[in-house]
Amino acid sequence: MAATSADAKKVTLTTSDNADLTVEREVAERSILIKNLLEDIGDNGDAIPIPNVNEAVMKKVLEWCEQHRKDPPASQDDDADSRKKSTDIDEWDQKFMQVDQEMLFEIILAANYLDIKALLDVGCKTVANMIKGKSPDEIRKTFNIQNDFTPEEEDQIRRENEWAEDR
Amino acid sequence: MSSDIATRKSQRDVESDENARHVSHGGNTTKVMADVTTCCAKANHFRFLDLLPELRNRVYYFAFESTAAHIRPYRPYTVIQTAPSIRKRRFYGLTQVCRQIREEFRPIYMEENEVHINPDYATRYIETFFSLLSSDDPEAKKLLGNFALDLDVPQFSCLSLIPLLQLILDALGVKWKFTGPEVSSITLLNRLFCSPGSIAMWESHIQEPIAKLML
Repeated sequence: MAATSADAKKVTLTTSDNADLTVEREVAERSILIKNLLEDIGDNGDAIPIPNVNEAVMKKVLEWCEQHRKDPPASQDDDADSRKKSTDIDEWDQKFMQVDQEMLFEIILAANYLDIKALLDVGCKTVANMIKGKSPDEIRKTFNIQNDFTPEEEDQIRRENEWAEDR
Repeated sequence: MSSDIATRKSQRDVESDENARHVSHGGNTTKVMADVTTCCAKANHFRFLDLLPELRNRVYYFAFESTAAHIRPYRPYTVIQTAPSIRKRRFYGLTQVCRQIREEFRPIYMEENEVHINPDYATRYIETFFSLLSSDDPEAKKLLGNFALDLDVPQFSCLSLIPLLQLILDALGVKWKFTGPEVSSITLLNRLFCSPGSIAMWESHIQEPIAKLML
Protein backbone atom coordinates (compact mmCIF):
# COMPACT_ATOMS: atom_id res chain seq x y z
CA MET A 1 0.00 0.00 0.00
CA ALA A 2 1.46 3.34 -0.99
CA ALA A 3 1.60 6.23 1.44
CA THR A 4 -0.13 9.45 0.38
CA SER A 5 1.84 12.61 -0.23
CA ALA A 6 0.01 14.26 2.67
CA ASP A 7 1.41 11.53 4.84
CA ALA A 8 5.01 12.03 3.79
CA LYS A 9 6.42 11.35 7.23
CA LYS A 10 4.73 8.00 7.45
CA VAL A 11 5.86 4.68 6.05
CA THR A 12 4.01 1.46 5.44
CA LEU A 13 5.49 -1.88 6.37
CA THR A 14 4.18 -5.13 4.91
CA THR A 15 4.62 -8.05 7.26
CA SER A 16 5.19 -11.72 6.41
CA ASP A 17 1.47 -12.40 6.67
CA ASN A 18 0.71 -9.53 4.28
CA ALA A 19 -0.56 -7.06 6.83
CA ASP A 20 0.16 -3.40 6.12
CA LEU A 21 1.17 -1.34 9.12
CA THR A 22 1.55 2.42 8.71
CA VAL A 23 3.74 4.21 11.21
CA GLU A 24 5.63 7.45 11.51
CA ARG A 25 8.98 7.29 9.78
CA GLU A 26 10.79 8.36 12.93
CA VAL A 27 9.33 5.36 14.76
CA ALA A 28 10.14 2.92 11.96
CA GLU A 29 13.69 4.24 11.77
CA ARG A 30 14.49 2.86 15.19
CA SER A 31 15.17 -0.14 12.96
CA ILE A 32 18.52 0.37 11.27
CA LEU A 33 17.42 -2.08 8.56
CA ILE A 34 14.40 0.06 7.71
CA LYS A 35 16.36 3.29 8.06
CA ASN A 36 18.98 2.07 5.60
CA LEU A 37 16.32 0.80 3.22
CA LEU A 38 14.59 4.18 3.22
CA GLU A 39 17.87 5.95 2.61
CA ASP A 40 18.79 3.57 -0.22
CA ILE A 41 15.51 3.45 -2.09
CA GLY A 42 14.21 6.84 -1.08
CA ASP A 43 10.80 7.56 0.33
CA ASN A 44 8.78 6.88 -2.82
CA GLY A 45 5.68 5.85 -0.94
CA ASP A 46 6.00 2.14 -1.64
CA ALA A 47 5.35 -0.25 1.18
CA ILE A 48 8.46 -1.84 2.64
CA PRO A 49 8.31 -5.63 2.84
CA ILE A 50 9.37 -7.09 6.19
CA PRO A 51 9.27 -10.74 5.20
CA ASN A 52 10.73 -12.19 8.40
CA VAL A 53 8.29 -10.71 10.89
CA ASN A 54 4.58 -11.34 11.20
CA GLU A 55 1.93 -8.78 12.09
CA ALA A 56 1.60 -9.66 15.78
CA VAL A 57 5.33 -9.44 16.40
CA MET A 58 5.75 -6.33 14.23
CA LYS A 59 3.03 -4.53 16.19
CA LYS A 60 4.81 -5.42 19.39
CA VAL A 61 8.14 -4.21 18.01
CA LEU A 62 6.58 -0.96 16.81
CA GLU A 63 5.03 -0.44 20.25
CA TRP A 64 8.57 -0.55 21.65
CA CYS A 65 9.86 1.76 18.90
CA GLU A 66 7.10 4.26 19.64
CA GLN A 67 8.00 4.32 23.33
CA HIS A 68 11.71 4.74 22.55
CA ARG A 69 11.44 6.99 19.50
CA LYS A 70 13.42 9.81 21.13
CA ASP A 71 16.15 7.64 22.64
CA PRO A 72 19.71 8.51 21.56
CA PRO A 73 21.32 5.99 19.21
CA ALA A 74 23.40 3.26 20.83
CA SER A 75 27.07 4.13 21.28
CA GLN A 76 29.74 1.96 19.71
CA ASP A 77 31.56 2.07 23.02
CA ASP A 78 28.72 0.60 25.05
CA ASP A 79 29.97 -2.97 24.77
CA ALA A 80 33.43 -2.00 25.98
CA ASP A 81 32.03 -0.66 29.23
CA SER A 82 31.55 -3.54 31.65
CA ARG A 83 29.22 -1.40 33.78
CA LYS A 84 26.77 -1.52 30.90
CA LYS A 85 26.59 -5.30 31.28
CA SER A 86 23.98 -4.97 33.98
CA THR A 87 20.84 -7.00 33.51
CA ASP A 88 18.81 -4.08 34.87
CA ILE A 89 15.82 -3.27 32.69
CA ASP A 90 13.76 -0.12 33.09
CA GLU A 91 10.23 -0.44 34.36
CA TRP A 92 8.42 0.17 31.08
CA ASP A 93 10.59 -2.37 29.26
CA GLN A 94 10.04 -4.93 32.03
CA LYS A 95 6.29 -4.67 31.57
CA PHE A 96 6.71 -4.72 27.80
CA MET A 97 8.61 -7.99 28.08
CA GLN A 98 5.92 -9.67 30.16
CA VAL A 99 4.88 -11.81 27.23
CA ASP A 100 4.70 -15.53 26.67
CA GLN A 101 7.96 -17.29 25.96
CA GLU A 102 7.25 -17.76 22.27
CA MET A 103 6.61 -14.04 21.82
CA LEU A 104 9.81 -13.22 23.70
CA PHE A 105 11.69 -15.55 21.36
CA GLU A 106 10.13 -13.89 18.32
CA ILE A 107 10.79 -10.37 19.57
CA ILE A 108 14.49 -11.24 19.94
CA LEU A 109 14.62 -12.68 16.42
CA ALA A 110 12.76 -9.68 15.01
CA ALA A 111 15.00 -7.17 16.84
CA ASN A 112 18.03 -8.94 15.43
CA TYR A 113 16.64 -9.02 11.89
CA LEU A 114 15.45 -5.41 12.01
CA ASP A 115 18.71 -4.34 13.64
CA ILE A 116 17.25 -2.68 16.73
CA LYS A 117 20.14 -3.14 19.14
CA ALA A 118 18.47 -1.65 22.21
CA LEU A 119 15.44 -3.90 21.84
CA LEU A 120 17.66 -6.92 21.21
CA ASP A 121 19.51 -6.12 24.42
CA VAL A 122 16.30 -5.81 26.42
CA GLY A 123 15.28 -9.24 25.09
CA CYS A 124 18.64 -10.81 25.85
CA LYS A 125 18.69 -9.26 29.33
CA THR A 126 15.25 -10.70 29.94
CA VAL A 127 16.59 -14.15 29.03
CA ALA A 128 19.67 -13.59 31.21
CA ASN A 129 17.34 -12.72 34.09
CA MET A 130 15.52 -16.01 33.52
CA ILE A 131 18.87 -17.74 34.10
CA LYS A 132 20.10 -15.62 37.01
CA GLY A 133 20.32 -17.46 40.33
CA LYS A 134 19.05 -20.75 38.93
CA SER A 135 20.64 -24.16 39.38
CA PRO A 136 21.54 -26.18 36.26
CA ASP A 137 18.44 -28.31 36.72
CA GLU A 138 16.18 -25.28 37.02
CA ILE A 139 17.71 -23.83 33.84
CA ARG A 140 17.13 -27.15 32.04
CA LYS A 141 13.48 -27.03 33.05
CA THR A 142 13.13 -23.37 32.00
CA PHE A 143 14.55 -24.03 28.54
CA ASN A 144 13.51 -27.69 28.16
CA ILE A 145 17.10 -28.83 27.72
CA GLN A 146 18.27 -32.40 28.20
CA ASN A 147 21.23 -33.22 30.40
CA ASP A 148 23.57 -34.93 27.92
CA PHE A 149 26.80 -35.02 29.92
CA THR A 150 28.90 -38.17 29.80
CA PRO A 151 29.78 -39.86 33.11
CA GLU A 152 33.28 -38.37 32.83
CA GLU A 153 31.87 -34.88 32.37
CA GLU A 154 29.48 -35.40 35.27
CA ASP A 155 32.46 -36.37 37.39
CA GLN A 156 34.30 -33.19 36.42
CA ILE A 157 31.23 -31.11 37.27
CA ARG A 158 30.92 -32.90 40.61
CA ARG A 159 34.52 -31.96 41.42
CA GLU A 160 33.91 -28.34 40.42
CA ASN A 161 30.86 -28.28 42.66
CA GLU A 162 33.00 -29.11 45.67
CA TRP A 163 33.96 -25.43 45.46
CA ALA A 164 31.47 -23.11 47.07
CA GLU A 165 31.34 -19.49 48.12
CA ASP A 166 32.61 -18.92 51.63
CA ARG A 167 31.82 -15.21 52.01
CA MET B 1 33.86 -11.25 25.12
CA SER B 2 34.61 -13.10 21.97
CA SER B 3 31.73 -13.06 19.55
CA ASP B 4 32.60 -16.39 18.01
CA ILE B 5 32.34 -18.59 21.08
CA ALA B 6 28.93 -19.98 20.30
CA THR B 7 29.83 -21.50 16.97
CA ARG B 8 28.82 -25.10 17.49
CA LYS B 9 25.66 -25.40 15.47
CA SER B 10 22.72 -27.56 16.34
CA GLN B 11 20.47 -28.95 13.66
CA ARG B 12 18.08 -26.16 14.52
CA ASP B 13 20.81 -23.59 13.88
CA VAL B 14 21.41 -25.13 10.47
CA GLU B 15 17.72 -24.87 9.68
CA SER B 16 17.79 -21.21 10.69
CA ASP B 17 20.73 -20.69 8.38
CA GLU B 18 18.73 -22.27 5.58
CA ASN B 19 16.01 -19.73 6.23
CA ALA B 20 18.58 -16.94 6.14
CA ARG B 21 19.83 -18.13 2.76
CA HIS B 22 16.30 -17.90 1.41
CA VAL B 23 16.22 -14.33 2.67
CA SER B 24 19.24 -13.27 0.74
CA HIS B 25 18.68 -15.23 -2.44
CA GLY B 26 14.93 -15.34 -2.78
CA GLY B 27 13.30 -13.55 -5.68
CA ASN B 28 9.87 -12.77 -4.39
CA THR B 29 10.88 -12.66 -0.80
CA THR B 30 7.43 -12.36 0.69
CA LYS B 31 6.43 -15.69 -0.88
CA VAL B 32 9.69 -17.63 -0.80
CA MET B 33 10.82 -16.73 2.66
CA ALA B 34 10.19 -18.98 5.56
CA ASP B 35 8.76 -16.84 8.31
CA VAL B 36 11.16 -17.04 11.21
CA THR B 37 8.49 -15.86 13.55
CA THR B 38 6.23 -18.80 12.84
CA CYS B 39 8.47 -21.51 11.38
CA CYS B 40 8.76 -23.44 14.59
CA ALA B 41 6.05 -25.09 16.54
CA LYS B 42 4.72 -23.23 19.51
CA ALA B 43 6.50 -24.24 22.66
CA ASN B 44 5.87 -23.82 26.35
CA HIS B 45 9.54 -23.20 26.97
CA PHE B 46 11.83 -20.50 25.74
CA ARG B 47 13.77 -22.18 22.90
CA PHE B 48 17.19 -21.04 24.00
CA LEU B 49 19.09 -23.52 21.85
CA ASP B 50 17.07 -22.43 18.79
CA LEU B 51 18.56 -18.95 19.00
CA LEU B 52 21.31 -18.22 16.51
CA PRO B 53 24.76 -18.60 18.09
CA GLU B 54 25.36 -14.85 18.00
CA LEU B 55 22.15 -14.28 19.94
CA ARG B 56 23.11 -16.83 22.58
CA ASN B 57 26.41 -14.98 22.79
CA ARG B 58 24.52 -11.77 23.45
CA VAL B 59 22.70 -13.46 26.35
CA TYR B 60 26.05 -14.74 27.65
CA TYR B 61 27.38 -11.19 27.42
CA PHE B 62 24.89 -10.12 30.06
CA ALA B 63 25.61 -13.15 32.26
CA PHE B 64 28.21 -11.14 34.10
CA GLU B 65 28.80 -11.32 37.85
CA SER B 66 29.03 -7.83 39.31
CA THR B 67 30.90 -8.99 42.42
CA ALA B 68 33.86 -11.36 42.66
CA ALA B 69 33.07 -14.41 44.77
CA HIS B 70 35.41 -15.92 47.34
CA ILE B 71 35.33 -19.66 46.88
CA ARG B 72 36.94 -22.63 48.61
CA PRO B 73 36.56 -26.38 48.62
CA TYR B 74 33.49 -26.86 50.73
CA ARG B 75 34.27 -29.17 53.63
CA PRO B 76 37.30 -30.70 51.93
CA TYR B 77 36.92 -34.36 51.04
CA THR B 78 33.14 -34.12 51.25
CA VAL B 79 31.42 -34.77 47.96
CA ILE B 80 28.60 -32.40 47.16
CA GLN B 81 26.10 -33.78 44.68
CA THR B 82 24.02 -30.67 44.15
CA ALA B 83 24.94 -27.35 42.60
CA PRO B 84 27.13 -25.10 44.73
CA SER B 85 26.10 -21.93 46.46
CA ILE B 86 25.26 -19.27 43.93
CA ARG B 87 24.79 -16.21 46.11
CA LYS B 88 27.26 -14.14 44.10
CA ARG B 89 27.82 -16.55 41.24
CA ARG B 90 24.34 -16.04 39.87
CA PHE B 91 25.14 -17.38 36.40
CA TYR B 92 27.40 -20.25 37.45
CA GLY B 93 24.56 -22.74 36.93
CA LEU B 94 24.65 -22.06 33.20
CA THR B 95 28.09 -23.69 32.97
CA GLN B 96 26.55 -27.04 33.91
CA VAL B 97 23.34 -27.28 31.90
CA CYS B 98 24.33 -29.38 28.89
CA ARG B 99 27.38 -30.06 26.74
CA GLN B 100 26.66 -27.39 24.14
CA ILE B 101 26.01 -24.54 26.55
CA ARG B 102 28.96 -25.60 28.72
CA GLU B 103 31.23 -25.54 25.68
CA GLU B 104 29.96 -22.12 24.66
CA PHE B 105 29.56 -20.39 28.00
CA ARG B 106 32.11 -21.87 30.42
CA PRO B 107 35.16 -20.25 28.74
CA ILE B 108 33.41 -16.88 28.79
CA TYR B 109 32.38 -17.30 32.40
CA MET B 110 35.85 -18.40 33.49
CA GLU B 111 37.47 -15.47 31.69
CA GLU B 112 35.04 -12.72 32.61
CA ASN B 113 34.24 -13.52 36.21
CA GLU B 114 37.06 -13.31 38.72
CA VAL B 115 37.04 -15.55 41.79
CA HIS B 116 39.13 -15.13 44.93
CA ILE B 117 40.67 -18.11 46.64
CA ASN B 118 42.79 -18.83 49.67
CA PRO B 119 46.37 -19.51 48.48
CA ASP B 120 46.33 -22.75 50.50
CA TYR B 121 43.86 -24.10 47.96
CA ALA B 122 45.63 -22.78 44.85
CA THR B 123 47.03 -26.11 43.70
CA ARG B 124 43.72 -27.85 44.25
CA TYR B 125 41.93 -25.10 42.34
CA ILE B 126 44.26 -25.56 39.38
CA GLU B 127 43.83 -29.33 39.50
CA THR B 128 40.06 -29.00 39.57
CA PHE B 129 39.43 -26.32 36.99
CA PHE B 130 42.39 -26.81 34.67
CA SER B 131 42.81 -30.55 34.95
CA LEU B 132 43.21 -31.07 31.20
CA LEU B 133 46.38 -29.11 31.37
CA SER B 134 49.72 -30.42 30.27
CA SER B 135 52.33 -28.40 28.49
CA ASP B 136 52.06 -30.32 25.21
CA ASP B 137 48.25 -30.41 25.17
CA PRO B 138 46.99 -28.03 22.45
CA GLU B 139 43.75 -27.65 24.41
CA ALA B 140 45.75 -25.97 27.16
CA LYS B 141 46.27 -22.94 24.95
CA LYS B 142 42.51 -22.44 24.80
CA LEU B 143 41.95 -22.52 28.55
CA LEU B 144 40.60 -19.34 30.08
CA GLY B 145 40.51 -18.35 33.69
CA ASN B 146 40.61 -15.38 36.03
CA PHE B 147 41.41 -15.82 39.69
CA ALA B 148 43.02 -13.92 42.53
CA LEU B 149 44.95 -15.37 45.45
CA ASP B 150 43.70 -13.56 48.51
CA LEU B 151 46.54 -13.06 51.00
CA ASP B 152 44.17 -11.53 53.52
CA VAL B 153 43.49 -14.87 55.17
CA PRO B 154 44.75 -15.71 58.66
CA GLN B 155 45.19 -19.42 58.01
CA PHE B 156 47.43 -18.96 54.98
CA SER B 157 50.70 -20.79 55.58
CA CYS B 158 52.79 -21.08 52.45
CA LEU B 159 52.23 -21.24 48.74
CA SER B 160 54.09 -23.21 46.12
CA LEU B 161 54.37 -20.97 43.09
CA ILE B 162 55.63 -23.58 40.63
CA PRO B 163 52.15 -24.91 39.68
CA LEU B 164 50.89 -21.36 39.22
CA LEU B 165 53.76 -20.32 37.00
CA GLN B 166 53.48 -23.56 35.05
CA LEU B 167 49.79 -22.90 34.52
CA ILE B 168 50.41 -19.42 33.17
CA LEU B 169 53.13 -20.64 30.85
CA ASP B 170 50.98 -23.44 29.47
CA ALA B 171 47.67 -21.59 29.33
CA LEU B 172 48.19 -18.02 28.25
CA GLY B 173 44.47 -17.29 28.59
CA VAL B 174 44.50 -17.79 32.34
CA LYS B 175 44.88 -14.58 34.33
CA TRP B 176 45.78 -14.55 37.98
CA LYS B 177 46.97 -12.05 40.55
CA PHE B 178 47.45 -11.50 44.24
CA THR B 179 45.08 -9.42 46.34
CA GLY B 180 45.32 -8.28 49.93
CA PRO B 181 45.42 -5.28 52.22
CA GLU B 182 49.16 -4.56 51.99
CA VAL B 183 49.20 -2.65 48.75
CA SER B 184 52.96 -2.30 48.33
CA SER B 185 53.58 -6.04 48.88
CA ILE B 186 50.76 -7.00 46.57
CA THR B 187 52.02 -4.67 43.87
CA LEU B 188 55.48 -6.17 44.14
CA LEU B 189 54.18 -9.75 44.01
CA ASN B 190 52.03 -9.01 41.00
CA ARG B 191 54.96 -7.38 39.26
CA LEU B 192 57.19 -10.35 40.07
CA PHE B 193 54.83 -13.16 39.17
CA CYS B 194 51.80 -11.95 37.24
CA SER B 195 52.91 -9.35 34.73
CA PRO B 196 53.55 -10.41 31.12
CA GLY B 197 57.21 -9.51 31.42
CA SER B 198 57.74 -11.58 34.54
CA ILE B 199 56.10 -14.63 33.01
CA ALA B 200 58.66 -14.60 30.19
CA MET B 201 61.41 -14.25 32.79
CA TRP B 202 60.24 -17.24 34.82
CA GLU B 203 59.84 -19.44 31.77
CA SER B 204 63.51 -20.28 31.58
CA HIS B 205 63.79 -20.91 35.32
CA ILE B 206 60.92 -23.08 36.41
CA GLN B 207 61.94 -26.32 34.75
CA GLU B 208 65.19 -27.82 36.02
CA PRO B 209 66.96 -24.99 37.89
CA ILE B 210 64.16 -24.31 40.39
CA ALA B 211 62.58 -27.30 42.08
CA LYS B 212 60.77 -25.37 44.75
CA LEU B 213 59.52 -21.79 44.94
CA MET B 214 57.53 -20.95 48.03
CA LEU B 215 55.82 -17.82 49.25
